[in-house]
Amino acid sequence: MNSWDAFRTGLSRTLRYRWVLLILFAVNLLSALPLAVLPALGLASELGHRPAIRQAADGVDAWLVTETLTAPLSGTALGEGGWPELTRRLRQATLLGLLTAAALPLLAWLPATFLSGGVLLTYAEAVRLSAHDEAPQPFRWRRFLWGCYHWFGAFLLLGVVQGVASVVVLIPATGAAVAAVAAAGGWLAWVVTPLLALVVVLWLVLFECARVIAVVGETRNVARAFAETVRFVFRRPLAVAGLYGLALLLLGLLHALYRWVLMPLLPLDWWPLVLLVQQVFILARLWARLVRLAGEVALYQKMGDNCSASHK
Amino acid sequence: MSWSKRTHTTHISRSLTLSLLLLASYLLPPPAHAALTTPIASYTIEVTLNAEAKTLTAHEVVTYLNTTADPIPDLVFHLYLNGFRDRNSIFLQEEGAQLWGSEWDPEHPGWIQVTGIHLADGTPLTLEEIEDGTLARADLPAPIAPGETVEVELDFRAQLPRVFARTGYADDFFMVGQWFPKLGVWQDGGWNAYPFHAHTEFYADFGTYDVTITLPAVYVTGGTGLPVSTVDNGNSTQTVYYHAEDVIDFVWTASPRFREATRQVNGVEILYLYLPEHEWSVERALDAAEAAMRHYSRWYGPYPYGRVTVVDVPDGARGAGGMEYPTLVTAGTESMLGLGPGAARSGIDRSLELLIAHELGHQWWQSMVGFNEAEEPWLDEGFTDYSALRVMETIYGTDTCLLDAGSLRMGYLDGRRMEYLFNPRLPMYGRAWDFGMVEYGIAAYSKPVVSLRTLERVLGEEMMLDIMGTFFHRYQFAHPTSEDFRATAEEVSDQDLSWFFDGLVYGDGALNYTVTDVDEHSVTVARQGGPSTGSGHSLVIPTEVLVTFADGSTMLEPWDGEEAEVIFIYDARPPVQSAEVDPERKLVVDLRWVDNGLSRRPEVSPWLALVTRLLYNLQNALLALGGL
Repeated sequence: MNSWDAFRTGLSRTLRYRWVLLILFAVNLLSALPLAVLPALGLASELGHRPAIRQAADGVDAWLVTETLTAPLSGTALGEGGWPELTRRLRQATLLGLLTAAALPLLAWLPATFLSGGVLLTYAEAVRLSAHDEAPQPFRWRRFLWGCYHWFGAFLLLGVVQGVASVVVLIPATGAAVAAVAAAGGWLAWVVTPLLALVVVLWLVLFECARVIAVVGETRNVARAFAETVRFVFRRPLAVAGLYGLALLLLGLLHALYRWVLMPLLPLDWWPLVLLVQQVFILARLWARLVRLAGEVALYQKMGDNCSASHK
Repeated sequence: MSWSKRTHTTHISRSLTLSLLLLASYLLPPPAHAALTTPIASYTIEVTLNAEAKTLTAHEVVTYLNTTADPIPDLVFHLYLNGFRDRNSIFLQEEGAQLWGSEWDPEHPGWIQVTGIHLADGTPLTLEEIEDGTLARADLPAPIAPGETVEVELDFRAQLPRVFARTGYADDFFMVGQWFPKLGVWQDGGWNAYPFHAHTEFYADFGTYDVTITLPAVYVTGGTGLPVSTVDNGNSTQTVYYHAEDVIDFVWTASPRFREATRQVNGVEILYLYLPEHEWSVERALDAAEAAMRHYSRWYGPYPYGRVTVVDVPDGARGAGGMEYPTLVTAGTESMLGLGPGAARSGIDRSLELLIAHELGHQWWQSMVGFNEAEEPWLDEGFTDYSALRVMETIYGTDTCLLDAGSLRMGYLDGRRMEYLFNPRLPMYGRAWDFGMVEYGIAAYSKPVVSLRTLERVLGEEMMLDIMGTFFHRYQFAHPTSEDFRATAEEVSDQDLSWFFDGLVYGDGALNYTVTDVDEHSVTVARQGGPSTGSGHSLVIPTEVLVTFADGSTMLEPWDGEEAEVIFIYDARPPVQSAEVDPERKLVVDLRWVDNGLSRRPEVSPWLALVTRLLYNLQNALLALGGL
């Protein structure tokens, strides 16, 4: 199986299991909604009766940003509470910012980690392999939830390892590279930047493929899965790179369609239509991501065995 | 001991070279214009540049005409380069040896030393340094009587610093500003001459300059006025002669790497001296310069000199860039927004154009209308920046004239208003050294721009240009003050402009107009801000209130703003839908445009539109962070 076949398989499996896409979309939407409540209420209380909100809805003007940024200072100039009021507001804004900054990654990471096992298992069991045919399997809720539950702990551990390793290895390496470029001059940037980009991409690919291989290989031993991933990626680099390239192309096309074709045509104050288009785009982004995952599953199912066999 | 008193005598230099050059000048075409004003302080200088040691050796003849009613007993000279002599200078004490991000290099200081001074008849004088050595006084044997002239000769040596605070060298690039002993201005019974402060710019009488510069033959030069002749001395050096009339200063620049690009506008030659690595900037620089010269000439009055030179400065010599001198300004190709060379070069960041438009504005508001930049910096910087704003908006668009990067856009007024909002109560009026660096930027640039734009919108553009044009013509080649501008503005507009002068120029007035309540049949508007500290008067600017009714009809109510709160009642009209103070946003000084309007019913649809976008952005953030 080559990259193109894996990509096509990914396309067909994601279209067959629409429930997976809808579940992920619903989780994404339900995670974002509580985060949006506080700012939305703040917006309503500050600008709900102000016609200026119409201009913000048309597209944010620079003066609105300026006034928002300098609001505490102009308030002080108008004698509204002075420095105590200013520091109180700053404290509140900082607290809100910190809470959001802390909540956002958790809300993003925990559900995604939980759902990964079920998603990958669904794609891994997409066909019942027999001697004569590959019969398509229907979506099974119980199996999906079992997959979520079964690999949740392992994927949590993998996520923590990835996070810690990034802090210990990747961030210092990036810092050192930036320092080297700053010291040696601009020419080094032409060498270091592509190298650094390659390392970061490889890093992300390895951790993503490790989840795929854990599910396809039916193991919760993340060390073994990671080792197998390294072996697989380095033995089949072109196939893996090709699949990621195709997935990236699909994502790029979707972005281009949204950014340069759809959005310029939409008046921003037609909010129901904008909401619809934006939610469809979120759905499309999720779909492109699932195509990549399903493609990886198919690729490893076909090539991983050969890889392991040759290794044996 | 006697000394010569002369009236308008022609000085014949002792130098053979200068004599020959002056002779040559009579044979060449005359300068582009005859003298437009009586020269008060005129200078004839022969200077030699040692390009290796970065030093100057010069002989200077100063001819000073006493046009005042006072007998003048002494002469006070500025020795600006001594501001960079050591850390004890007032300049370096005030801002910690840096200015606008450019650092003074203690290994390469600057200084000036007068090695001899005497009257034209040979009577020796004694020059005594004052304060930190950036000023020096010479007592005269007898006072200069009103209407009489004195001629003094000086020899001096100067060391140029590595580029810092407008002047100096960077490798083979030389920007030679504030380089010669220069007289202060006699007014109100004394010399108006201050030590060189970190934020102080310059103040001088108008006069005629004849300057010959001897330097290596490979150098390309630019200078105030017009080049009259260039003589190859045959020893790998050349002597270039510049002549300038009706100017307050003389500056020159030189580099063997300079290239020249020119353009004509209204009979004036624009010369762009640029460095080869900045060739990309040529058309943009000339376009901006042409637009600025064309518009300023139309708005205020014609440019009377034959040439204006725009000088590009090398990367890493930013301290020399962005400065104005008579008939010569320095620009620069770095991004003022800090966006890096890519943004500046691509044109999405219009720092290059803005810098040129601003510095050329000084040709009118400093070089021709000779404000005292030390005592009232808001006048020259404020008028100039307001003029630059007008040019930038006219040529590059109101919302995009500072930054135009697709969805990321910023107008120049937005930028200046943001700075103003950081300290809106700061009075514009004040001596340069009364302000810290940030305050100086707000008082001299940002607040004047938003205040003058407010004045323009309140009075109307035509009236504003009438005021500015009248002021220019009335005070060209003179030294007007804020009060002169007030008298002109109130006379031309036939209005009491106390709100502008007492509230914004001298006072610490702050203003916010807001609609506080909209009922079915009434609208309540309020003026916030409180009284000024000094005058006790509140900042009050007449404005309008636009009321929209449920049937779609509108009513524009004039409101003088005198009462802190006013209720408009509409019993006989359909229910009020919304109201907005200053609906056209004329009052740029208003601290909060956002609360200028109020609707009786919630603005549900725009709120939902914003919440929709907020939700979408959060979903995207979750997708990006989730990693699934």
